[in-house]
Amino acid sequence: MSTNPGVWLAAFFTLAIYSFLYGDNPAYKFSEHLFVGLGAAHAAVMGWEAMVKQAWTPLTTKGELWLLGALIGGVMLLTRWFKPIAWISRIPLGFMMGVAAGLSLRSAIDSQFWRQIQSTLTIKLDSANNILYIFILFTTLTYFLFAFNDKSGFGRGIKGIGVIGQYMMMIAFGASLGSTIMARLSLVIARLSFLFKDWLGVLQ
Amino acid sequence: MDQGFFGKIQNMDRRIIYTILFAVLLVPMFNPIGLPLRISDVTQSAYDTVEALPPGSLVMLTTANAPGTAAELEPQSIALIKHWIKKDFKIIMWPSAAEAPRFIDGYAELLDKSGYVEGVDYLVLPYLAGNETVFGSMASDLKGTFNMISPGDSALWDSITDVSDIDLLADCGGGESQLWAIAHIEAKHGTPTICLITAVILAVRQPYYTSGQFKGIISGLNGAAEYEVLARVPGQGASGMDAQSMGHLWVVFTILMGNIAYFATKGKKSPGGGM
Repeated sequence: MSTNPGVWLAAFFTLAIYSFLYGDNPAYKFSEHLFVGLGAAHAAVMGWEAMVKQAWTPLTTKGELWLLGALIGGVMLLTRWFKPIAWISRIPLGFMMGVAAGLSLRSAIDSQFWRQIQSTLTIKLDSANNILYIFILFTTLTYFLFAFNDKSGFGRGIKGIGVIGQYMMMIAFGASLGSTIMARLSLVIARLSFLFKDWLGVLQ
Repeated sequence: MDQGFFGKIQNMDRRIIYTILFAVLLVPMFNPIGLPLRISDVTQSAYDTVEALPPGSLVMLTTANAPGTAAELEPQSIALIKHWIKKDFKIIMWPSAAEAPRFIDGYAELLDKSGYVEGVDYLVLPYLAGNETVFGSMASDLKGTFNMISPGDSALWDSITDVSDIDLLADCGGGESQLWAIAHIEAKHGTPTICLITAVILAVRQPYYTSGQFKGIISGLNGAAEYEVLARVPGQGASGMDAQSMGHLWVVFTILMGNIAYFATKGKKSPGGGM
């Protein structure tokens, strides 16, 4: 059994969080609130350190005056706490949104749009997987692109293909759910391993 | 009123299900079954990409590992770093999320124990706030992005000009960071990129593997186990796979029983008088 107080604390909080499976209780509530508080404190400290490292130190030691703009922008964000001047916070926020949109759009068009289309158009139909890939792509796109109410034979045919696409999506969502369960089981296994190996020392 | 067998199953106390789940997970942890492990294409490709690099190559790990994802990402990262150590690579590590530095400290400890010298054989870059903007900045000007590292501080850092010197980028995380890595670094410099991800996002990252933007993917605890087997570096991944498989069997069993019970009792009056 571990003699490290940190391990004992971690074991207590692990058990306290899992006690929710039995029912809501004060130990769970305390651990939950502590976790949220610690997370907020950690983020604040990391944010402060990053500000000092990325802006304050280069500004004061290397004379990089342009960083003053970033610091002033940061202070302007805080004005949202004061109603009469809260509008000022929208200026740096708008700037940040603009930078984010510009940066991600430029890169996303190439890596997430163009190269994906390119890869799909050049796929070789030489394996069952690739054929299935194209089939699912075709039926799913049909479902979204031809969502009109056409009662002719052609319209019913298109709708039928779209229904297949709907089922294909359900299979995909099911696979995603399966992956989610797998991820959650991994978390439980890691905690059980911690409890029985690191804390109690009964697992090799 | 007697609910019958299927009625009881439908109204089973969730605590019984959880208790059995814990038992099902614990038994193989104490008595490993040694279930066979099939290596997936994505993991095999990740391994092959690393294996193809010559000794002394410069590799970079960007990680957004956090307590909530560590159960999957930590065994993957450790297996990958152990493989890199075996290949005698020069390693740069950068925490791309505020929670990640403490995990990087652990990897640095592992490298120290393996005889790596900080600043010469490996380097830990400081966390910088900014998410995608930092990836964009690194792609444009790596040295300028980390201008807090002065010339002379690290022989490894001094030997690098920009991102194009990096022979392999491995991005680890359960969020968007992989997309930023391929959007800015892979797209601009053609840096071979692999990713280490949680199993939940495999389905949405796989198209980038098909398109060749990722050279390989290590996904979830099973990905970690597969990589450990390929790289011959035993670790937490493989040891947890028996429990993972047994847990899945239990989940599948409960889903099946739940559905059978639902259809068997469909249309029958519930004890409360409703349908």
